[in-house]
Amino acid sequence: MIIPILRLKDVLLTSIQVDLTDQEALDFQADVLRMVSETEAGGIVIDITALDVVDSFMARVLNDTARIVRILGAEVVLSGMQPMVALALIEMGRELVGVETALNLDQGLERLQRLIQERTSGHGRPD
Amino acid sequence: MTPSDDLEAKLALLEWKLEERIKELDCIHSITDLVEQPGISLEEILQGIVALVLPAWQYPEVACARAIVEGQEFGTENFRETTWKQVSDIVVRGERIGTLEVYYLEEKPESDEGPFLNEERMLLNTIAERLGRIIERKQAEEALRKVHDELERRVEERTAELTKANETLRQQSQAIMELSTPVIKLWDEIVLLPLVGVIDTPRAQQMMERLLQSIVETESRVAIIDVTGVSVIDTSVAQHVLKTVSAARMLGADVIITGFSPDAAQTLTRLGVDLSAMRTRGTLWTGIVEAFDLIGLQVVPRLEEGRR
Amino acid sequence: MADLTKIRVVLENSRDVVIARGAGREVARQLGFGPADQTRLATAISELARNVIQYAREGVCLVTDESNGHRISIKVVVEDHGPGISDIERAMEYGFSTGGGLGAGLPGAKRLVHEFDIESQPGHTRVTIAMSRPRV
Repeated sequence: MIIPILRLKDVLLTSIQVDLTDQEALDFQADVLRMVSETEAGGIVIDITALDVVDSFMARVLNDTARIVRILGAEVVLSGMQPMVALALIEMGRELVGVETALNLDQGLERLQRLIQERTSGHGRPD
Repeated sequence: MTPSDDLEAKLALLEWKLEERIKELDCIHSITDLVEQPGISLEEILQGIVALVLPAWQYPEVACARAIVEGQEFGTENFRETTWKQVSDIVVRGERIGTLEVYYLEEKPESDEGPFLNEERMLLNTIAERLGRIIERKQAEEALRKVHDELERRVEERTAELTKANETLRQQSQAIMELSTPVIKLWDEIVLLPLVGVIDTPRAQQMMERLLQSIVETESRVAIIDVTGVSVIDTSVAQHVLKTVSAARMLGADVIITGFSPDAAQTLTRLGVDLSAMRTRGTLWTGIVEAFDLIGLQVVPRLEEGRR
Repeated sequence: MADLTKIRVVLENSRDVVIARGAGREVARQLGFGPADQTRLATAISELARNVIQYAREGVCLVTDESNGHRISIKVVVEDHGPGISDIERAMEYGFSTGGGLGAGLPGAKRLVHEFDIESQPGHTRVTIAMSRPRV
C-alpha cells in the first residue's frame, strides 16, 4: 500500500484513502518524513477524511509524524478528520497535542500557508 | 284360565313394562352423557340423539329416527319415511323450531298409537322437550361466545391502537428532541447551537454529536454554543460540552460558549469543571463579535450618503 | 444479507485488526447504533485486537447481537491464548505500557463502551465489551 504524496509549489499534499494496518501506517510515516526532507518543502497537509477509525496507534503515528516534521523545519496540518473520530479520540483521553488541524483540504492549505509564513517571519511558536 | 295363569300373565306384563321403562331410562341417561361431553356441538348432539332413541322403542331393529331443526335434518343411517311414524315438536322459547320423529320401517301390530306405545309417546315428548332446552342453552352459549370473541377482538384492536399511538409518541418525542437542538448556520463558517430548557445527559450527548457533524458539513471554523436558555447545567452536561469543545478543536474549529450565568459558572468551578479551558463570553452578542473576529471579519457601520 | 447475529474474525496479522473493527462497525450499524457509537465500538475493537496481535500473536474476535425488544445491544469478545496480563490493574492505568505503545489501548477502549470486562491468566486472556441503547 503506497499512499501518493503530491508536491504543490512549496508544500506537500497527501490523502489517506484507505484503512491502514499498523505497518502501512508506519510506512506512510517514513514516506512523509523522507519526502519532507528530500523536497525541503515548507510543510505538508495530510488529509484523513477517509479514515473512519483513528485508534491510539494511528493517533500516535500522526502525532509523531507532526513532531518530527516540525523538527525537520516544516509544518503539518491534518485535515478532514471525521467528527465521530474526533469524539472517540477525546473520549479515549487522546489529544493530538501539537498537531494543527483543519476542517477540509482548502482550509488545511490555507492554515499551512499561514504557519509557514509565521515560521519564516520568526513569529513561530516557542516549542 | 286359572288364577295362577292369570297371575303369571300379569307378572310377565309387569316384567315387560319394567324392561321398557329400563330402556327408556337408559335412553335418557345416554342422552345426558352425550350432551355433557365438553365442547360438543349442537349438530353432534342432534346426530347422536337420533341414534340413541332407537333402542328405547319396542322394535328397535326396524326403527329409524330423524330430527329436523330449523330446516336442517339429522337422520339415522337407515332413515326412510314410512306411514308408521311418531312425531313430537321441538319448541324453543314457545316457538316450534323443528320435530323429532321415529318411524317403523315395516308394519307392526296395532297398539296405543298405531304400532307405538303410550310410553313411547311420552318418552318422545320428553326427549323433544329436552332437546328444546339443549338447543336453547347451546344458542345462549353461542351468543355468549360471540360476545366474548367480539370483546377479545376489540381488546386486540385497542391494544394495537395503543401500541401504534405509543410508537407515534416515541417518534414524536424523538422529533422534538431533534427539533429542540437546531444547529443554525449563522454566517459563512459560523454555526450556532442555542441550548434551551432542561438538558439531560442523553440529550447533551446527542446535541454535541450533531454540533460536531454540522461543523464538518458546513465547514464552519467557529461554533457558538449559547447556554443562556438552559435552566440547570450540571457536571455531566458540562463534561459533554467540554468534550465537544476538545473534539471541535481537534477537527480544526473553535468553540465559543456564551451565556453562562454567574451562578452556573460558580457552581461548575466549585464542582471541579475547568471552564478556563473553554473560550467563554458573557453574552451571545459578544460571542458573535468574537466569532467574526476569529474568521477575520468585522462589523462596521455602512457608509451612507449624507451621513456625518 | 449475511447472518449478523454472530460474526467471528480470526486475528493473525494486523490486516485482521482492520477486518475485525470493520465487522464490529457494520454489525453496530445494522442494529441501529448511531455513527458515534459505531466509531466508538470500531475504535475499541481496534485497540483490543491490536493487543492480541502484539502480545499473543493470534486470537479471535467474536461480535454478537444481544438485542431484545426494548434495547439494541452488541457484545464483542476478544480472546487469545498468549502469555496473559500479569497485572491487570496496572494495564488498565492510562499511560502504562509494556509493549512500547501509548498505554492508551485498554483504558481507552474501556472509556468508549458501556461494559468492559477483562479476565486474564497465562494461556488465556478474554476481554468482553458491550454497548446498549434503548430502541427508538
